[in-house]
Amino acid sequence: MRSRRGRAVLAAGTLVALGLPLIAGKYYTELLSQALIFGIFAMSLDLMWGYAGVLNFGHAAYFGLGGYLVALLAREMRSFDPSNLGYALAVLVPVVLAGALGYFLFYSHVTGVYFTIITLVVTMIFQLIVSDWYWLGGMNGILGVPGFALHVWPAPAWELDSEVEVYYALLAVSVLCYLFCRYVVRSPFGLVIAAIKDNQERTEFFGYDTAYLTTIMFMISAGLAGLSGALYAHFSGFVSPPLFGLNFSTDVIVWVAVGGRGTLVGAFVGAVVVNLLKAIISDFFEVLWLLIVGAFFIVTVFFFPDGIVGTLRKLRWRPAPSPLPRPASMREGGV
Amino acid sequence: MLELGSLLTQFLNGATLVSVLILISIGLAIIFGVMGVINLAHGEFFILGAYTVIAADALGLSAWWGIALAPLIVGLFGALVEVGIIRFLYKRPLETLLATWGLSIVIRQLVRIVFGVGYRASPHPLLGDLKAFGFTYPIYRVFLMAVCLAVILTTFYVFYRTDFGSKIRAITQDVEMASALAINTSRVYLSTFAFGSALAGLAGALMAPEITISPEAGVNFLARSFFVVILGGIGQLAGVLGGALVVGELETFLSYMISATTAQAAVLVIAIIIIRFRPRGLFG
Repeated sequence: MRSRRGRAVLAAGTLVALGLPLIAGKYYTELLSQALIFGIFAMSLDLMWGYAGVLNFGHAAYFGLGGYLVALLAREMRSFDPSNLGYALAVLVPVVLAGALGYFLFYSHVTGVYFTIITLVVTMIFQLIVSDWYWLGGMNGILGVPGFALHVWPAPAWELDSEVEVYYALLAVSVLCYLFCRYVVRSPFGLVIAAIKDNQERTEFFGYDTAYLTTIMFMISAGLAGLSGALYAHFSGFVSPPLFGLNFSTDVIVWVAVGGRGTLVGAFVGAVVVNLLKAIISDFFEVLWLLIVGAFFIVTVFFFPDGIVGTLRKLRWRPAPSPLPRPASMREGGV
Repeated sequence: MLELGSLLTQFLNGATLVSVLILISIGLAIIFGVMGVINLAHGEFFILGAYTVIAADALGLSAWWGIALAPLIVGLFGALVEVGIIRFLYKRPLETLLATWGLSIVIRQLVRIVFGVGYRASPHPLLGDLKAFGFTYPIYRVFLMAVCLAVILTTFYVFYRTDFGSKIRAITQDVEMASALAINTSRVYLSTFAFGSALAGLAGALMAPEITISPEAGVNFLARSFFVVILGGIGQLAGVLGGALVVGELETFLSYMISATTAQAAVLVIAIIIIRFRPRGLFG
C-alpha cells in the first residue's frame, strides 16, 4: 500500500491538514473543525456499512446520545468539572445500547435491510422521547455546554480558547480515531468481519459466531459515534433533538457515500467536501440544498457507488507485486 | 356505564388507526412481498394523497373529489417512479433503500416549495355523529373503517381470485419460473408498484381531514407501517391485518394512559422486543 505515490499523497494530505487553518480564517477553520467531528462520526458508520456491510439508518442515535450525556453532566454537575467522565459515559452508554440492540437483532437473524429499517425507528424513538421530555430540554435542547479542555489529572485543566487550537486538537483526535479504526479493520477480527460481509453462511460454517462478531463491530461503531457526539457537544456548546433526527442520520450516510464507503479516509473527505459545499450553496440557495441532497442519493446509487476515494483508488490501482497477498475486501470494501 | 362507553370509544379510535395503518401497510407489504423492494418514499406517497385533497379544495372541488383523485394521481406517480428508478434496482435492496430515501427527500422539499412549510388543514367532507344506543361516534370515522374493509376485500379478491393475482403469487414464489411460463414480470411489477402507491395515496386522502398535514408527516406513518409489516410477517397479506391490529390498538390504549409521543415510542420498543422472539412475525 505504501508505494511512493501513496507516501506522496500522505505527505500532501498532512501538509494541507496542518496548513489549512493558517490560510482559512476563523469561519472556515470552525467549519473544518466541525467537519472533522463529523468525519469521525462518518467513519464510525463506515465501520458498519463499508466493512460489515450492514447499513445503520439511525446512526445519529449514538451521536445524539453521546452529545446529550455530556450536556446533561455539564448541567447537573457544576461543582466539579466532569468532562473526562462525560467522554467515558458518551462512549460507554452507546456501546451498551448497541450491545443490547445487537442481541435483539443480530441474534434473531435480523440483518440486512430489516436491520436498517429497525435502526431507522430506533433513532425516531430517541427523537420522540427527547423532544417530549422537559428534563432533557424538550424541543429547545440543552444550552451552555463548556468548551474543550484538556484534563490530565495532576496538571490544571488546559482550556482551548482559539479556534486554531481547537482545530489542531480535533485533528489529533481524528488521526487517533482513524488509526484505531484502521487497526480494527486490519486485525484478524476485522478480517472475519469482512468474511461475514462476503458470505455469512460460509463464515458460520468455519465456526465463527457471526452474530456475536457483528454485534461487537456494532458496539465499536456506536462507541465511536458517541465519542464524536461528545466532541460535538463541547464544540458547539449546545445539543438539541435534531441531533437524533432522521435527517442527520441520512446526512452521515451521504458523507460516507460521497467519500467512499469501505475506505475510512473517505469518511473525512466526504464530511469536509459536503459540509463546505453545504455552507457555500445554502448561503445562496436555502431551498435548493435539500433537493440537491435528495437527488444526490439517487445519483450516487446509479453512477457513483464508490465515492471520491473509492473512484480515485480504482483509477490509480494497478496490482503491484506485494509480499503478502491481502484479501480484496480489505482494499476495496465497496459493494 | 360511562366507563364502558369511554372504553368503547377508545376501542373505536384504535380501530380507526388500525384501518389507516392497514391502508398504508398493505401497499408497502405488497410491494415488499412481491418485488422485494423497500420503498422509503411510501410515507411521502401518503402525504401526496393528503395534499391532493388540499389542491382539489384550492381548485374549488370538494374533498370527495380529492379522495377520488388521490389514488389515481399517486398511482400514476408511483408508476413513473417504478419506470424511472425502481426498475433498475431489482434485487439490490440496499440500493433501492437509498434511492427511495433520496426520492422522499426530493418529494418533501417539492411539497414545501409548492404548498408551503407549515401545517395545513384539509376541508372536512363529512361532519356529524352516528348515534346508536345512546352512544355517539363521528360518522366520518365509521366511513373510514368501511372504506378500509372494502379495500381489504378488494385486495384479497384481486390476489386470490383473479388472473392477475395468480400471476403475482407465481412471481412471489419464483420469478424465473414465472417468466419462463410467459408471465410478463416487468409489467406485473409495474402494476404492483402502482397499485401499492395508489393505496398509500388513498390512505393519505382519507386521513387528510383527521390529521394536521405537513410535509414531514409522512415519515411518522412510514415507520409505524414498517412495524406493521415486520410484525405481521413479511409476504403475508393476512399478517398486515394482524400487525396493524396490534400496533394500532396498543398505541391507542397506551396513549390513553401516557402521553401520545411516549405511547408511540413504547409501541416501537415493544415491537422490537417481539421481533427478538418472533423474527418471522407474529403470524409467520
